[in-house]
Amino acid sequence: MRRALELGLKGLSSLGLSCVLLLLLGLLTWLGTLEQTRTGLYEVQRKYFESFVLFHDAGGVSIPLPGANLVMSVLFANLLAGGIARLRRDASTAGVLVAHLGIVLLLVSSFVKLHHSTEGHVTLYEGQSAAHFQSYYRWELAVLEGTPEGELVERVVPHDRFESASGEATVDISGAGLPFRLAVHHFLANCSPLPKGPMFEVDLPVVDGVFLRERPRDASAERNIAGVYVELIERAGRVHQGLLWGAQAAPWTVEVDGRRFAIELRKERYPLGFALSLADFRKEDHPRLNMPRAFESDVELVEGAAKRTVTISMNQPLRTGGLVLYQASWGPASARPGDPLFSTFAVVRNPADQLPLISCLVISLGLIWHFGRMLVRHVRREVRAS
Amino acid sequence: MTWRLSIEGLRAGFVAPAVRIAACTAACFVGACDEATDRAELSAPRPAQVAPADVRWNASADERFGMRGTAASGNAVEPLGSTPGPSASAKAAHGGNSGLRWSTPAGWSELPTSALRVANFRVGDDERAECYLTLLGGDGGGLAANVNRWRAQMGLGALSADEVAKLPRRTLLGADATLVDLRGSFSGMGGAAIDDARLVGLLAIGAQGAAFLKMTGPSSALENELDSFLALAASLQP
Repeated sequence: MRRALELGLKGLSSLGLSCVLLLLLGLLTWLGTLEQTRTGLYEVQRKYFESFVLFHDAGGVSIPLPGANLVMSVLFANLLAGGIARLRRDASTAGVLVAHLGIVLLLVSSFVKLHHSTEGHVTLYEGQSAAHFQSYYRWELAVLEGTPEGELVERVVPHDRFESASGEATVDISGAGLPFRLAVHHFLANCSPLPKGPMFEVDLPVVDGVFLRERPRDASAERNIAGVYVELIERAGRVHQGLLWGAQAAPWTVEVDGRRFAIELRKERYPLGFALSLADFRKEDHPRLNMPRAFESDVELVEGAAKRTVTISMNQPLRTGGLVLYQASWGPASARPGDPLFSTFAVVRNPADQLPLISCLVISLGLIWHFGRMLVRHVRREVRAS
Repeated sequence: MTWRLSIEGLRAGFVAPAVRIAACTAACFVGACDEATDRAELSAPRPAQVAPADVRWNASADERFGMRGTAASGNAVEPLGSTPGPSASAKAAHGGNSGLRWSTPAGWSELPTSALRVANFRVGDDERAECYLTLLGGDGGGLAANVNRWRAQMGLGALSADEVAKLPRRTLLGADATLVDLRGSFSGMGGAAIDDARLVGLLAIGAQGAAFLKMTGPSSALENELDSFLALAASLQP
């Protein structure tokens, strides 16, 4: 048993394994980069870099490969076992040890980013404000209900809880205090509603003369518009059929037991923790071109009674409350001089936001230390020899 | 550089941390994986991210999905607004991705579709010359109303029901369709007016639904496009 453990640890900590893992990471990066020409960044990230196992399509032949998630996890263990825990610790290896610690820190920051970060955007015209930002890719089903006090409450469920409801497969969604449950099916990642004409048949259900037409997934994942069929089943057994589409102009509304509900499929929303208003947006074009040279926004943050004005520009993000707001884009692209413009901010909540920078500094420090020491030794030897 | 295996290191408390690391890593993986399920739970109620006044209650399917024009409204063709659709390059070389198939005439180019333009083309090189297919769930107000609406767009007087019934017929998506070929001054919805314009259209209207294939543009640009238009109509397959 002990012998087996020793052998296992020897294998896990071997430099050979490190080399294989680093080569695999290089291979995955190369394949993932090539794949982006066909499927886009988001899908490639999910398939090659956030997965444990994947099947790479090489001209019709599926080749199984470990995903970068698995490779980096094993590399993490390999570095801990071989590069840190069992590395000979003396002055000659101190720099190497520090560099390895930096790489481990980098892997930890990747893990935190993957599982605990939130990314999205908020888009505002001048004078508009928002208290939330929304995802570029992820959907959620929201059930809104007006209260007797005239307020609106919502209950939500993220789409990864019901995206398995493809085809005839059904996912039941319930909520505490609701007089109904939802049965969702035929979830489509990219679709558009279409009136059902008499001259063609469709395989999908038709609700109020409309069905969801599936579209191929767009290479730019944020351009996909999801849709889903919903059956609202009252406690008494009465069933209401509905369609939800991500770009619908208004929610599906149903009245049950005298209570009014609005149900919609929308991009996942996250609270900002403050109210963000766009006070002013400015852009400066290159001479005689419509291409902007620089653009920036004056925003007003209202948090409780506190109010402050901040300028966010292309290289000057706003960091506040664990969020980073970047000046991402503006529009509409077709706006003519004098037309109102909107400003879009990319919003990132990443607890490990600064870790990659710290990791690089630690790695640099370790390498400078190690190679500097070697250089000094070499120079001394040369001086002595001369 | 080599990593030295040290049995002393193992005895000096290396095994326990290694096991802990492995356990933590495994726990992280398990925690990161969501179990597939056929049941889901809505979150607890919370204040909505939208103001009550911003919710449109009791909107019809047409209003919700940006479709103007059903049997009820009688305003058949144009959508309320375009919605993001796949780019032309995302489509198959011949035909769409909706279950409908067609052959794009030579010299024409496919344009992005919108909520109601299930097939959308530029005719030749003139940006004002376009052709698109619209499908509706109702009768769109009926054949005569739509023929005369198109005639009004071209600055022409209305036809009687008898005159409409005598218009030539073709087939569109397997259904009997009425062909109109109009010349005049075009002023459609949203676009710039075209003085010397041509409108060629096919209208297939039934009680359960309607299909409209409509080509508009400057007469000079459409002078030789009637055959292409009819070829496109013939190629459309459900």
